[in-house]
Amino acid sequence: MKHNDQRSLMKALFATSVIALTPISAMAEGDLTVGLSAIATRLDAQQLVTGSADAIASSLIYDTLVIRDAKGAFRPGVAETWEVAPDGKSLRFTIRDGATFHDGTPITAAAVKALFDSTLDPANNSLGSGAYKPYVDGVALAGDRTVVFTLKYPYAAALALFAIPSGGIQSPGSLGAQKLNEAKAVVGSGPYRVADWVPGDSLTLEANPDYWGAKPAFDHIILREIPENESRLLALETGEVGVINNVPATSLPTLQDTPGVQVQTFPSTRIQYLGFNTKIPLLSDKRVRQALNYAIDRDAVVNTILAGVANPATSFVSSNAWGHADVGTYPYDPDKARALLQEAGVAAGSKLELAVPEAYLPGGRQIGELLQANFNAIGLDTTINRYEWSTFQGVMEAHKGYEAYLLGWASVTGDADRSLTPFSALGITVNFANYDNPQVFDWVKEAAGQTDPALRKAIYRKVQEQLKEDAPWAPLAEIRYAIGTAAGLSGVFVDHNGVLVLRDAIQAAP
Amino acid sequence: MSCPAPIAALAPDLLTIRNLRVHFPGQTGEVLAVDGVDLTLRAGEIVGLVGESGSGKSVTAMSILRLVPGARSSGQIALEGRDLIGLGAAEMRALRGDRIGMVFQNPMTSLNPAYTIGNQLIEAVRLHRPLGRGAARKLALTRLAEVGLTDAARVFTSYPHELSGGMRQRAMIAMAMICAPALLIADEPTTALGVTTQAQILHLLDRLRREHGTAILLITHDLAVVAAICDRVAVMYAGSVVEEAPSDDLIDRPRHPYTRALIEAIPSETGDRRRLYSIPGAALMRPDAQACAFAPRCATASERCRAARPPLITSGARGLRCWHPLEVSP
Amino acid sequence: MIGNVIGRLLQVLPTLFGVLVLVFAMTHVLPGDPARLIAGPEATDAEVAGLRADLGLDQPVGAQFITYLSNLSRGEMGRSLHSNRPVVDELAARLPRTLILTGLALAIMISLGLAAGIISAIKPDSLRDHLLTGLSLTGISVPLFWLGLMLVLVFSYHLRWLPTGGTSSLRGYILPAVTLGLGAAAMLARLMRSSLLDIIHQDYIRTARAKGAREAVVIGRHALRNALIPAVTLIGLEAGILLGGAVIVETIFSINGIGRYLVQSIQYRDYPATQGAVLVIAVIFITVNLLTDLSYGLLDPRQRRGAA
Repeated sequence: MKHNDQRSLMKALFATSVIALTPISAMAEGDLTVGLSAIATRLDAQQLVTGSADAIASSLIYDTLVIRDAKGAFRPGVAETWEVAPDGKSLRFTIRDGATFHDGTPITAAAVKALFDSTLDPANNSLGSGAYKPYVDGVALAGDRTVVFTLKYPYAAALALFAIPSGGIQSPGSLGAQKLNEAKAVVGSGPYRVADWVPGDSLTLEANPDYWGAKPAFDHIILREIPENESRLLALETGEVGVINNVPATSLPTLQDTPGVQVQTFPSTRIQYLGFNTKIPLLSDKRVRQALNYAIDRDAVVNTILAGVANPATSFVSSNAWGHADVGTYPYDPDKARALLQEAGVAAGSKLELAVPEAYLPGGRQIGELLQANFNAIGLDTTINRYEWSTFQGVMEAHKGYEAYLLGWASVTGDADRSLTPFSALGITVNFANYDNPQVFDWVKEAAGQTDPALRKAIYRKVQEQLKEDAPWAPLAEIRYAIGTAAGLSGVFVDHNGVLVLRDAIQAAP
Repeated sequence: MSCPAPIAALAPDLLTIRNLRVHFPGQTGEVLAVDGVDLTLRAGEIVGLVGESGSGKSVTAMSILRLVPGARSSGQIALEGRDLIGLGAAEMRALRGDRIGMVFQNPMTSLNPAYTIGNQLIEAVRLHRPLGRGAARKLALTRLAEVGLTDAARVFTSYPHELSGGMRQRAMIAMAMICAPALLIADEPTTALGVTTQAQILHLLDRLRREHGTAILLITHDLAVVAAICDRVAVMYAGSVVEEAPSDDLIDRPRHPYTRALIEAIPSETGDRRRLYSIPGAALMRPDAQACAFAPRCATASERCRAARPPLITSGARGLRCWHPLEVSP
Repeated sequence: MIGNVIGRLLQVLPTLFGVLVLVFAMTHVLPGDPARLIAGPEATDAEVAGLRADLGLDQPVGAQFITYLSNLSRGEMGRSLHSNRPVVDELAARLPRTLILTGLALAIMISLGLAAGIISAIKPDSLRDHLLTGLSLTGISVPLFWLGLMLVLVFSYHLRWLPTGGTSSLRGYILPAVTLGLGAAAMLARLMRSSLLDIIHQDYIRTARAKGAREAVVIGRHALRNALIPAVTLIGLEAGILLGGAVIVETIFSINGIGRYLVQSIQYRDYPATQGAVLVIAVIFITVNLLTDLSYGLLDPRQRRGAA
């Protein structure tokens, strides 16, 4: 290092230490700063990842055709009205009059068609297209203000597809530039627009004065990435930020006792479960899988390890997803478990490996250790294999000899279909259990095409009952998402996918 | 050179040391390194201080400038009639390098490797003389030429590692002489050098004292060096002076058994070198002053030697600390 | 000297190539599919397959490497798989933050470390020496993570002097730089102490005293300069260690610098981003090494080649 550099650094250090003596200030008036565990990396709605940090920003920048509220109910978005055809094979959206993109151009039915045509175009490799391609056959205009989506087969949960972040309405003219993922290329439709983007650090959004709906409550919403849990909590406690997401269960009691801060938890469609590879000898016997179910102390998982951030699971489909049936889980009964193992001819001291992606799952490490103790208590010899999340994914796909594994799943559409279809075939990725029951797979297909809600629910109940009986996956807990907000802030919620929704945030007058 | 003229015989006393005792704090109480040294230097005189390593000769020399870390001196050291032991730190610093110059044994490690010779010489000048850089440089170049460095300008810009051992020692001497001190203390100045260079350096010291009238206290373990240029010699053993005499006298007619042993260790013409270790035993500091320190190694030691420490008895130009002096052959 | 520098720079190229090959091989050997990691846990196979094709990950690994190298030779580092933004832009945005952070930490290390080392060495075994030695032992042994959070607790939470992190102003860098620099300062203090104590017993220090120099000059001019030579080695090494520590500190203090970018890119198996970040860190490392070597020459004339 050159001498001069050293000197100027010293000067800078001195200067900053003088500035440091003035107390820190909280957010500017009329602004809301939000501390997030991760910040959006993509702002292009066609390329963003549902349920990820991207969705938090995109839900502010983009309206969708329909928008879901805190309870999951649909309300108008870019579409003023909508209609699902009686045969369930098409959806018709009437586009709101007077709504504009952030660049001032009107949002028309033609623009919406152009956008979804582009999403569905295989050449574009849109990440969001995966949500539409299995169902949507084509997009057509019906008059000036109406867009019609025709489906490949009747799909009862189709409306939810038009409320997910990948369906964010962006100017079709901006699409080429959007893909480059630069702030100035973003032409959105929502209540806030991009003012400044420092990728990986902060995203400053400003109120869209031309928004068709209620005037946005804040002049600016500033999203800041604060990855470290303790730092994020401290930023809220010091007033540097007004909202934080992903409050760990262990910090809940402390935060609840902090004056000026309120803690809220929200239900999600996320189920944390223990999967069994049904293709390995030990676990191919249903009685063994049931025995392991009986061995699990679920009460300890939900009320001790995940206290405050989980509800008991009552099915493999979350109670917050449409189509959930309360089929219940196996009670904690080690004696019964031992008896079943004996019946199945499992020798005492049989080895069982448990794969755990620790940091990825809430309470992952402790749950892994609890399960190990539970299984050893019924005479097994359990080993825990710990993985970092990115490695875990690769290991599960490459290594077919894994045995039991801890994982989670959420229905991004909020419908049982999305909780079951991705598991309902052999050889598809998330069916790590290699579950193979053609009867169940047929039911799931049938339910997807059933437009009568009551009949559909009945099918899902059959499926969930059979899943409990077959026990390829042992549901452990339904995850709740915890956030912290400054006192007086309301309207902030976490949707069923775990996305922090800020568009309706309001600061009460002091 | 073997017979230097007694030019300083009538000169005034420059340095007088009386009953110098130097203590060090040690692990087990204080250690006595110098036990009552008496020594006098007259202006322009070269006095050799001779002894084995550990005899206290270097500590004595460095105590004059208070350069022994942690040491505590008592007794009397006077330069030109001015007491040095009671001197304040600033006054002592003013003296160092100005009235008293110092040359050390190892010219490689005694010069700072990070600075050029010129830089170090100029520093030495400007510590004591209110000279500008230009004037200081001129003086430095003069001194470098004086000590026989023919290519003074090049040496000036050189770093110590770029010079030979002899050149470094000359540079070191030039630095010590830069303010033309009244006294030059040279601590084993030739020990680390080759034989030819040794002679040249000794010759240089002799010349400098003639040109500048500088008195030189030459610390050495080698009586051959003493014989070469010293006017007088003091022999130290175990912290005190055991014999003192004009150098010719001492070498021709040693009276202390230890002195004679040293003389016998001088390499002969044939190169047959009988070293100092031919004296049985090793020099030990005596914690009690109740015996002659040399007695354990002395062939002629008696009960008396082991019971009482002999006093330094001065007679004429000679001094001696021995109960059983050797007979002086006519 | 300039020729020397150019020569050294040319030697760096094969090193960088080796680094690239190694990182490329290592990231691709790691289990984990970037497409699946980016698409998210709830993505279906169809979504993942589409993304994989879009990212060019369906190409053979060898072909991917050759494409990468040919892009690199044109000064392009490709696009991040995760953000789809040019890696060059992403690195350019993050590099200054890491440089400010490590630069400040280095400044703290050097100023505190040198001062503490000198104060200790001037009076060894004194009360202040023992105090500083104790402090530096603590400084070395305290984990970065803990120190960072403690500083935030004291200065952000209780005193409210400094923000808990962020890069919106230079103030945000103070706590992270202190967190990062303190341990290094402690190391340097210990080194300076022992190095100075060693040098204070050197002959040329005695010479300086014999010349009549004041103690401040003896230490400041004669001892320090030579004691700095081992210190420079440590500072050079520490600069690399600080870059490593920046990964942790950047996470605690929400500074989105190169360190955190590297960690995230590895977590996402974002190959181009990982490559780019490693390349930049390697270049910084090599530059620091070069500067260290050059400063030896400035401090110690014996190391200078081709000097008169």
